Amino acid sequence: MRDDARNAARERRKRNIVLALVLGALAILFFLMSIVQWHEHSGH
Amino acid sequence: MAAAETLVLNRVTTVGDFFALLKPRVMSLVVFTGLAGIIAAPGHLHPLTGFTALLCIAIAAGASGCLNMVYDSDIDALMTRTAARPIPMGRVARDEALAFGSVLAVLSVATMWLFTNLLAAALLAFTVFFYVGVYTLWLKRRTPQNIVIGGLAGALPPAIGWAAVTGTLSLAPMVLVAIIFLWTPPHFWALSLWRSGDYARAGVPMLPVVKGKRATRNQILAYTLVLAPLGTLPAFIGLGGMLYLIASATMGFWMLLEAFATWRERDEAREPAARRLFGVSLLYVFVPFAALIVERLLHLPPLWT
Repeated sequence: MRDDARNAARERRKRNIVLALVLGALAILFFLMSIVQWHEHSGH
Repeated sequence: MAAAETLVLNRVTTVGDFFALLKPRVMSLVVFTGLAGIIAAPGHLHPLTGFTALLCIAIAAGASGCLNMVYDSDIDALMTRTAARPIPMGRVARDEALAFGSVLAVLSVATMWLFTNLLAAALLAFTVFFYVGVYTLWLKRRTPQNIVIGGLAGALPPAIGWAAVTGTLSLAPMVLVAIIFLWTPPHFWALSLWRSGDYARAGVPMLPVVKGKRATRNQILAYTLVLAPLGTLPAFIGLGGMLYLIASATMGFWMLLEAFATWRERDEAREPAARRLFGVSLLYVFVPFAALIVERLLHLPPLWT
């Protein structure tokens, strides 16, 4: 039972790390896309 | 106590469970045809914008698959092919999957609008609506024409990719849509020929269940007879070159041979010809679309200008 609880906690931690990585990657993508859009609209 | 422990174990949702909700295999096909639309379209798109557009198409396809699994979890539990999906297995709650799919759908459409254009975003939103609202909620449990009409959702990605680049639609992307639209029925009916017991048990009115296997074989052959020549059409409207023509003609001929073998098949227990047709039909989409992508990347000229 203790092993199950430990596994569940590990799985939750893994899920949170993946979620944080995905959100971080999205934030970077939005930032880079903003630069691309700004460049294209300013005629560079 | 043991049952309670099992329930607790089942409720620990892994990252893999959420990924499985996105139907990654279907997603790969959609991404590939969407990429073909982006690359084949005339005009310039910043590579990062192209990547973002493709990501939006992939996420929207995943969201559609997820919402489909939410509604179909009852029948998924009854079919061998789908019983191990996260919701029927009790690893993801329906509410969680509903929230997950809805957030992804809104996020993908909004991002597409923000970074490409309204037409691409509208087409993407229409695709999600059509797959979830029209196919899943309305057609799938009501008519054997479910995958014929519903196939439009899976056929649209090349047009979405094209629209993301050009902001418009024309004959060329619609021909690519038509090819996938006509490819969908023989592809799924081949699968349903050897899975008809599954569909019958779940009460899904697939063609072999409602009209019988003979009618299904006839329909597969009829659709493939139209599909094979249509598949070569991009080479004659200034879209594809010699490589595309060879790839599409070869694959069309191969698929026609397998459709004919399926039409003649008498082994109704194992359906070997239908299984082969299913495999070849997967190649039928990948090979010509890959040829189209390669031609554009290598700047090979189209056959007709």
